[in-house]
Amino acid sequence: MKFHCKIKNLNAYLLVLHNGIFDQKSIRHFAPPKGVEITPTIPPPCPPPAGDISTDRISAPAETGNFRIEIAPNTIVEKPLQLINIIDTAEPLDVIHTFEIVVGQGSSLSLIHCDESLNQVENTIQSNISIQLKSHSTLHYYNLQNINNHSTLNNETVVKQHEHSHLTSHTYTLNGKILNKHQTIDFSEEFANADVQGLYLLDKNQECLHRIRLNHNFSNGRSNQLFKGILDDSAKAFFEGHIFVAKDAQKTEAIQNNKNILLTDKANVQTHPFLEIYADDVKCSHGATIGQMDESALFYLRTRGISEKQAKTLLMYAFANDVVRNVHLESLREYLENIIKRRLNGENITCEDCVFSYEKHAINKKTYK
Amino acid sequence: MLTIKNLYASIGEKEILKGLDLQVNAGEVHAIMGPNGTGKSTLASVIAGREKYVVTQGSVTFCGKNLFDFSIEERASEGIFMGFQYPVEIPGVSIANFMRTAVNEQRKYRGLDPMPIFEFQAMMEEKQKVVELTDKLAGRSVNEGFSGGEKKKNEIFQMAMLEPKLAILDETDSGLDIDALRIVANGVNKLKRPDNATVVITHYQRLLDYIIPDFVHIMYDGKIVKTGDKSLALELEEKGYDWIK
Repeated sequence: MKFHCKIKNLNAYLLVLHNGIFDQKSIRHFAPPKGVEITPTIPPPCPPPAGDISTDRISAPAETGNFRIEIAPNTIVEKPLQLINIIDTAEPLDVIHTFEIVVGQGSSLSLIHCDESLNQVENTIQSNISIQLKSHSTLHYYNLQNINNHSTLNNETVVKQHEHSHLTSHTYTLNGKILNKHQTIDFSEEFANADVQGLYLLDKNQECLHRIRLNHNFSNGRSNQLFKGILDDSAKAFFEGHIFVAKDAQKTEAIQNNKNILLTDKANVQTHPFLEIYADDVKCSHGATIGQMDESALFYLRTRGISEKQAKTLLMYAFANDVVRNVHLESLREYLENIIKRRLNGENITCEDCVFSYEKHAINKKTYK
Repeated sequence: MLTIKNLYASIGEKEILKGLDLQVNAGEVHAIMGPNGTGKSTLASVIAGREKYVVTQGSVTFCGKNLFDFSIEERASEGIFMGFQYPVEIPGVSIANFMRTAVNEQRKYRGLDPMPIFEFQAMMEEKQKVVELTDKLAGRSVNEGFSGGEKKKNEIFQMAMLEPKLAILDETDSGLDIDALRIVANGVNKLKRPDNATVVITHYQRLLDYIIPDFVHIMYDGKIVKTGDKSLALELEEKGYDWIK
């Protein structure tokens, strides 16, 4: 079986979790560079994933999908690391995997985490991710969620940030039945910095939940949350953003924005911004908007000869691009721009032409036998 | 080119156009003047196809075709261009992307293939010069953070790109300082050809120092009440609008 990512020029180190098993054979071009250590781990027993999971379903072995990535101090990992979590079983599969990332002092890493399914059955994926950013370290973490319309994804991410560390956490929700993402970000020293962003493009009966807890426990921290969504058909989205600023966390700067476009009367968004502030010298703001397409902008575009459909696509794309333009890896950004355009044009982005593909006959045999 | 007969149009319950007649032929420049609230901008919007205005009576024929048979975008592709009094800001859509989409959609309507990218870029560069815009324009979001002058220059730039048969410029002079006014007006003059026509809607005579009209119409209470040559604008400037009431 050959794994191959279609993102042009991404040139990433590839880690593959295939049906919940950390597949070392599938790693191509990958001998971890100096300072990067990847070790399989046996996590402590974790609580069962949220949702109704019947016991007669197949589960991936719990001990095989877990690992730890540690970046030694003062290591700049030039190429991004790409983790592909992919399911292609004929039967529904439950996967629980845990991974731990430690970015050492003064080090930096880009991680692309893709959740994929090539089958069309009801899988449940539970990802437990714990991240530690040591002082003066940087992590760019991009999570691409593109699972089938029957599957549920629960992603629980806990981040601990030391002084002068910088986190970028982006979540792109492209497809799936239920997509839950909980992120807890703890500033456990001064001058921590976090950009937490998300884009969800939902249709049919898809549901997406973002729950963010950003704890400004120490002073001079800065955080910026930007979540945007476009909802078609009967899709639903929930956003719960909680910013906590402790009494001593003076000079905190915390911004939160959640903006949504509803394309139909049946689409539904619930947004709950929540600020809990105990310090008195802070700059905090939040904003939430839920609206339809801007009529005057549509009219303007159409008076130039652009069809209504094209004009809507242009406007939705512009809305989405507000998030995508912040992706610092050019090849990933271009790729996202392209699939978002196609998604907004109503195309179903299937896995085969999406993030990743491997030998076609292997897929056909396994999935559609 | 454009024949308007006995046009009535309303917004909600309110009737704004009340039996308007206008004839515009190829090669002509028309100016429509008149006090606030007489329906000048409504006329432009009705021709462009803005849906909130409802035409209750009358006809508009453009190049022999019934204008009301066409959607907003089809009217544009048929050759009608509207310069906005308040150009809309569209964050995230670059001018280059916007214009490329518009040019190619209009070409598609006329049965032409999309314009090759290099040809398009050369065209962008050439047309920017018409209104003295810099080449940084292409990457900027449509009208976002533009000054008043830049917005109006951008309208004329778009007109240059789309090469309409008929341009209706709604208060293109409003909010412009004298230098920007000169640049915008010169842009309009450069685009003048024997086979196209321009209608400028304005409050003030000063625009007509630069764009010399063949006809000046005075609009009052939803219709054109007086038509003359450019001297009518001067007379109006001198006597004020009370004179026509």
